[in-house]
Amino acid sequence: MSTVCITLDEQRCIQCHACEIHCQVWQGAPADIHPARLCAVPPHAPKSPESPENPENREHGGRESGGLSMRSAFLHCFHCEDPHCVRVCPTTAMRRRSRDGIVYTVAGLCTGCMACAMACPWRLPLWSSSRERLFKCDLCRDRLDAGQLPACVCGCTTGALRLSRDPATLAAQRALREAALHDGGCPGPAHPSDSSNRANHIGTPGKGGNAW
Amino acid sequence: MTGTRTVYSLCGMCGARCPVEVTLQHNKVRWVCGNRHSPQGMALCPRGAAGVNLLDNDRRVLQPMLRRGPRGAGQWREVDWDEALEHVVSTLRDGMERYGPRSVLWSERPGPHSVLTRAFVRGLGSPNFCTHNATCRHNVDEAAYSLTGKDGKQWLYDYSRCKMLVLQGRNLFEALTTAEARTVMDALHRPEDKGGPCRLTVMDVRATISGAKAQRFWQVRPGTDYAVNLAVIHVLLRDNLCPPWALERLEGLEELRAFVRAYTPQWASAEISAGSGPENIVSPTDIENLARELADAAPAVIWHPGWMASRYTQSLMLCRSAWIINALLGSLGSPGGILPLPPARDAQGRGLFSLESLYPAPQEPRADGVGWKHAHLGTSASLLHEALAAAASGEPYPISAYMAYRHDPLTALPDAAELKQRLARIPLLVSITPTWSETAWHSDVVLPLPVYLENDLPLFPKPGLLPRIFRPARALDPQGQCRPDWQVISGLARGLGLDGLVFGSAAELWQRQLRDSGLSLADFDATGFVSLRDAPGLPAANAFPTLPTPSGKVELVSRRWAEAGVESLQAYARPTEPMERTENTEQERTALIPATEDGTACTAGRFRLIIGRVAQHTHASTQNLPLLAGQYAENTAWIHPDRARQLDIHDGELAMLDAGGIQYIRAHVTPDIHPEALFMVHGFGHTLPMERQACGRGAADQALMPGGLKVVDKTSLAPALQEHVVTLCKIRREFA
Repeated sequence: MSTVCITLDEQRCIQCHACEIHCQVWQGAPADIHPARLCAVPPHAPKSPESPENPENREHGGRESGGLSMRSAFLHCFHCEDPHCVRVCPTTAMRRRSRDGIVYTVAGLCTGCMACAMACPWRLPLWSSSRERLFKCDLCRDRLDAGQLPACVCGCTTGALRLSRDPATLAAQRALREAALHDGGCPGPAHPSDSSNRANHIGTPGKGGNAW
Repeated sequence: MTGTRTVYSLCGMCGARCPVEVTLQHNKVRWVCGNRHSPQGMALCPRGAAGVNLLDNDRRVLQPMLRRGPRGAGQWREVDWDEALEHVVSTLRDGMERYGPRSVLWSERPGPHSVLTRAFVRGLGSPNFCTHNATCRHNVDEAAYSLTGKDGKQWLYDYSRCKMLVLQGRNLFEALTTAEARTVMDALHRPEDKGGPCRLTVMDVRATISGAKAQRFWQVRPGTDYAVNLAVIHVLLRDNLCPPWALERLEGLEELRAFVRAYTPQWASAEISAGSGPENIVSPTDIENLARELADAAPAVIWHPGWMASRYTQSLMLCRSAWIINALLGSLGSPGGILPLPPARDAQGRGLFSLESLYPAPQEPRADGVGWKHAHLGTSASLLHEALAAAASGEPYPISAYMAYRHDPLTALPDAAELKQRLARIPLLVSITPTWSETAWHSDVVLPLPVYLENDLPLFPKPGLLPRIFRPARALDPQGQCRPDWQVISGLARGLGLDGLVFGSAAELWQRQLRDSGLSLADFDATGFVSLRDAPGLPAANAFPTLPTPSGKVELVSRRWAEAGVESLQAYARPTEPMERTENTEQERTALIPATEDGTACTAGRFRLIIGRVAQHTHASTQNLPLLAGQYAENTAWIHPDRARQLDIHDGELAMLDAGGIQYIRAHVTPDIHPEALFMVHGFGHTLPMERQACGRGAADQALMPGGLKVVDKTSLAPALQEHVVTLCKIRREFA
């Protein structure tokens, strides 16, 4: 993992998706490519039978009291310590910089083979056929290098996204991702139809054509 | 980063006008975020973030247009500005000569441009300046005006010190204003050493983001909020929970006491819980507890009176009851409550020069009846739909021209067919707008404004505890033949002899505004704005202004209204159930739907139509922007599973909405909505062919409100947009 990560304060998140759009605009990504994803379970009453939250797991169910619950998670490239995408890239377009562990793409070397996307347990590298290039979170390394914060963190409507360099936070995030990989029983490249891999379910769009 | 420059402006994606910072690289917009020097910092909501999409939006108008064929036929002739202005000026002049300057009607959504447009309409001599307020804040403003002599816009919500906030339908985490959302979120997470968190109560007909942030969420029956407020007032008075000093500021307490005597918590609990499942019952004890909590937190409480409050035929009374609760608890004028809004003036009282002051206020009576036919309404009120009714009838006088400035009433108001009939009596229709809209499509002349990224707008004051003046400057040159507002108004003003409104450049306008302010244009260069005060202009504790009411106090029974024969404390009226709304028999109801071949008719469900917002869209103006359509492409109809089961409609299924007009919409089946309600986000169902993202996506709620111009609040005459019943039907394969 890199020496810097982005955390989401779920209590502050209002699921407005400003973060996704700020990321798209900063990266110049087209409307159908979301290098960062705000994954949302929209507001609902957890007691109701149709709720996504099982009543037996109330202790995992969002905020106490009030009657309504909502869950949010922010998905961005985790800049793994030993990235699958870097290992499989045939042209060394995908690389990791040693000073902070940020994994980024050298656009001129990228052939669009999508091995990185197949190797990533979270399917985070995204190929845009309209732009003929790869998009992936690079923690806004150009902004970081200029002493600024990533676009998503700056633009977040309610200040829910933060950049963290705190070792304890980084360790906790690392443990979370490792648990997701190991519980899903998938140490390597994941198959899209492998429903036992919980990691593949992060960011699954909600029902009804819209997430809300 | 090389080749980078920064321009400070005000976002034009909605009425919030957040201060923004536009980052340009090699003269292209790289990024838009909040102005880092402003109170919200670099935060900017999803719509603001998508501002770059405005530039190549195919909904834009880039040339002046003159209509060729009939109105609404979409046959246009591109012309140059000289021809367009000559046509508008000469037609306006002819109309004013025949019917008087009062015959010019103007409507707009307010913004920085308003200092120009208000002055222009005054300069013409017309009293008929309207805003979109009738479909927005009208009830909030009139309620405040009747109680305090100041309309809602002259009060400020002091969230950062508030201890308890109550939101009734004011979904402020989705109907977003960035700075407000941040301030409220900060208050909800205020550390203990700064007073501890603000507690939030939300009441709504469905689960919203705001509701999910609340410690207390009540799902209430649509149209019954007024019952809650009356019961809360009942408890506050019955148990002497109000601070005595707060009661001294009021007049009419005994009348209020008598009025709320019957509105007990038991009564209210039954009203608001009707039709809800057992998990959503609000008990009398719940209501008592709310009242007591409010009293404990007083006066640092805000019972939010609402924003878009044009919902029910009793919405004015609902808003009024909210302001009354605030007054009873001493919130008005207290830190953490609702403060009189300090104007945008410095310590010496200096501010921007008012262009409006160049011309005398027209003395003619308004066509919409404000000030004479509806003498109880405040002088800043406007009722566009009533003005258009005047145009249709010719009473009190004909309308020779209607100028729609950054306003699309054919989408904002119900019953477009009736509106078009009224508009047919007006010889000249002009739309001045950055984009096509239903109204522009129906106009005779369309004059193109630039999008905000290409626009120099008048200096814009933001009043408040720390007032500032902002300079909205352009990042790019206007595309096509678009002209900034100052230039369009200059062109019209020059032709009509209003020399005070003719400017040669934005800088000239800005200099004129800065006259006597003590400021210079260079003061804006560093951050895009100027602060008028160094420290917040906080009121002294318990200092309460003498109000501009006849008594100088908060008038629970408004003397002005009494003089106009209007009742201040109006009895609660239970909303009619959608299922029983019509006299139609079961047979007639099902006969509305064509029978299938085997003789069985589709079951149809009747619902109260509820409208609202999502964070990713502004009304009907953003649906064609790819970044926002990529988040939320079409609206859905939220319905309760019990209702969906009855209709055999499944989540995600396309269904038919019938209310006179037909719309198609996908169902979103969710238990988190009152069973009587069908909720949809306003602003979809676009029909304009050039809108490649938005055309044909989702449903248009305003097309489901037949006769809607006559379904209005009894007292304020604001449209009651949620007093409409729609029929939702399953689409059978046999019909396809």
